[in-house]
Amino acid sequence: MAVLQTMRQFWAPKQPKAYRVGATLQKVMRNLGDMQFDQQSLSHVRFASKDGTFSGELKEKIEPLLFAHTVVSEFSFSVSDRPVAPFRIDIRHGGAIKRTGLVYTVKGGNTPVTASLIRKMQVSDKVQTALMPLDFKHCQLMGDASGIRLVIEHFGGSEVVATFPAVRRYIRITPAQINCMRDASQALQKLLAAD
Amino acid sequence: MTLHKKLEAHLERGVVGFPTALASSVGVIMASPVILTATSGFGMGGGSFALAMVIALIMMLAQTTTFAEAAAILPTSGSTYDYIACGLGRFLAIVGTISAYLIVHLFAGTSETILSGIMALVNFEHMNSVMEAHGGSWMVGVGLVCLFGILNAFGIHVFGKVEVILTFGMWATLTIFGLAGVLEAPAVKLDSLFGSPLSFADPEAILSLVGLAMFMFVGSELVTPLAPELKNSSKTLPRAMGIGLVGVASCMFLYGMAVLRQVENTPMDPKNPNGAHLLDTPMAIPAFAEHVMGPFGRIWLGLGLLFAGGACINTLVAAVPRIIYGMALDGALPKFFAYLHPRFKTPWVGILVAVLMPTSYAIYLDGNLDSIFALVLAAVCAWGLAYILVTLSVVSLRIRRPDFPRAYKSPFFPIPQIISTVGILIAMWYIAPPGMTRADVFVPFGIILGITAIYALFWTVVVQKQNPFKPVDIETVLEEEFGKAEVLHGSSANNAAVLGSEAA
Repeated sequence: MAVLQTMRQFWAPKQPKAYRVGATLQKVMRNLGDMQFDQQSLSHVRFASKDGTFSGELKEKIEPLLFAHTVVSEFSFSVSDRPVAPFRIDIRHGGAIKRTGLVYTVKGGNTPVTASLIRKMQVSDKVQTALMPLDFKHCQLMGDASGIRLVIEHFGGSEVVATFPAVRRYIRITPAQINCMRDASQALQKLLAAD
Repeated sequence: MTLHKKLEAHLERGVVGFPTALASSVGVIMASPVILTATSGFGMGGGSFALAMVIALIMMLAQTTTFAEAAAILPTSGSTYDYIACGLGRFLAIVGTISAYLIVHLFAGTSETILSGIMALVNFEHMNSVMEAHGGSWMVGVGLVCLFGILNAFGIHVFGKVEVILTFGMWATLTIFGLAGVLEAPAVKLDSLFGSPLSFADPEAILSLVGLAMFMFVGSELVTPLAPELKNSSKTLPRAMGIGLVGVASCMFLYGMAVLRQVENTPMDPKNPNGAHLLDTPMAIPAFAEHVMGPFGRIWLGLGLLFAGGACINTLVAAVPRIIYGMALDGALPKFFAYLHPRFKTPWVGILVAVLMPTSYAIYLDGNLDSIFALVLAAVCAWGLAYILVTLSVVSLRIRRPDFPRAYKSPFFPIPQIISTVGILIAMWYIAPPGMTRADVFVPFGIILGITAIYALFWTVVVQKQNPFKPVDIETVLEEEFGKAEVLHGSSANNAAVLGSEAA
C-alpha cells in the first residue's frame, strides 16, 4: 500500500517540478523576523507584530515556466473593516527609467467613493513615502462587503527554481521593505478611519 | 530543549517525504546540447561512453551529499556564495558563484543559442535553406534569446499555462523515440548494445568522455537544499538522488542504444574518413527521427526540440537575471545589477546581461557548429570548479567548526568528497574527447576565469575592503539572512527552520 501511495503521489502532475509547498513562505517568515505566526496552511500564514500594531496575511503563489517556476509572495493587509461596494484600485509606479510617482487606476467599481479615495492617497505624503520604495509587482486596494484590503505582490520574497540550469534562488525581503509595508498599511488605515 | 536535540529530533521526524524528494530530484532535460552530447558521446565512445556516464553518475551522487551538508549548515538565499564565503573566503566565493552561474551561462547558454536555431530548422528544409542564405540558421537562436529577453523584461511569461503538459510531452517524446528505436529492426549492424564494445585497453579514452557524460546530469544538486527537511534524510536523500540520476541515465542509455541502432555513423565528408561523423552533428537527430517514424517523426521531434530550445532559453533569461540580482544584494556584484524597472519590476540590467552574454558570444563565434563541444566542456569545467570549491568549503567547515550543528551530515566523510573532487579533477584533466585538444576548452575557460578572478580580487580588496581569503563567520552570514534575534550563538538558521516546521 505504501508503495502504491508513493507511486500515486509521484505521478500526480499537479505542480511544477521541484516546487516545494511552503518552502518560500518559510523563508519570507524568517525575513519577517520577530512576529507571531498563525499558519493556516502550508502556503498561507497570518502574522502580527507582538505589540499588535501591524498584522497581515501572507500567501505564496506559483508562476510556472517551462523547466522553471517562480514562487511569489502575496501580502494582504486589512485596512478597514467597514463594508463597501466592491471596487479595485491598481497602484503602480510611474516612470520609464526612474520611479517618478504612483499611478492609480480603477479596475472595478468606479464610483465617487473610489475617486475620492484616490485623491486622498495622492495627497497623502505618508502613503507616497511608504509605497515608493517597495518593489511591488502588483499592488491593489480592494474593497467589498468584508472591508478594504491592501494586497501587495512583492519582488523581494520571491524565489526562482529552474531545472536547467539548476538554480534555486530566493530574493529576500529586507527589513526596510517590511517597515514600508507596515507604514503603508497604517497610513491607509488612518486615511480610511478619518473618512 | 537544546538546539542540538531540536536538530536531532527534526532529523528523525522531518516534514518532507520520499515522493517529494524524488519529484524534486533531477529529471530528463530535453535541451539541444544535452541531446547532441548524448548522440555524439555514444557515437564516439559507444560502450566507453556508457561507462563514462556511470562514473559521472557516481561522482554526482557523491557531490550531492556535500551540497546537502552545505545547505544544512547555511540554508540561505546566497547558497553557493555563502557556502564558499564561510569555507574559503570572499574572493573564492565570488569566483565560484560567477563560475557556477554566469560562466556556465556564457558557455552552455551560447551552445544552446547556436544549437536551438540549428536544431529548430534542421527538420524543416525549406526554412533552413532560406536562413542559411541569410546568415545561418543559428541566427534563429539569437532571435529566440532576444525575443525571450524582451518578453521577460515586460514580465510576460510564456509556457506557464502548459508547463506540466509540455514537460511530460518532452519526457514522453524522448522515451517513445528511444523505445521505438530499440524495438524496431536495427538499420546498423552493431558489435554490442552501444556500438563499439567497452574496452579497457585505453583507460584515457574512457576518462576523456567523463566530462561530456557529466553534462547529462546537470542540476543534480537541485534537491539538496531539501536535506534538513527530509524525513530520515541520511537515507532518503541518497535514495531520491540515486533513483533520479539512474532515471536520467536509463533514459539516455535507451536513447543512445536507439540512435546507434538506427543511424549509420558515416563520415560527413567521404573523402575525409577521419573528419566529423554524422553522429557528431545535429543532422543525426532528424535522420534518427525519420528512420524511426518517417516524415511525421521528423516533424514531431523537430517541434519537440523547437519547444525545448525555446523553453531552455526562456528559463535562462528568467533565472540568470534573478541570480545576478541576488548576487548584487549579497554584495558580490555592483548595486546597479539590482535595478528593477519602475513599472514591470523586472531586473532589466540582469536581463540585458543574460541576453548579451550568449548572443554576443554566438555572434563572435559566427555560430560555428564545431565550437559546440568546446563550449559544453568549458561549461562543465565551470561547474566542476564551483563543485570543487563547495566541497573544499564543506571540508574546511568540518575541520574549523566541528561544533556547529548540522541538520544533515554527508555520510562516510571524507570519502564522497574525495571521490567527487578527484573525479572532477581527472575529468577536467582529460576533458578533451577524441578530435579535440585541451587548449580548445581550457583557453576560453581560462581567459574568462582569469577575468573573473581579477574582478573578484578588485571587488573584495578595493570595494568591500575585506581580506579576500579570510573565511566569513557562519553566524555573520546567518544574522544577515535571518536577523540577529533568531540566531543564537553556535546555532544556525536550521533553528529557524526547526521552529518554522514546528509551527507548521
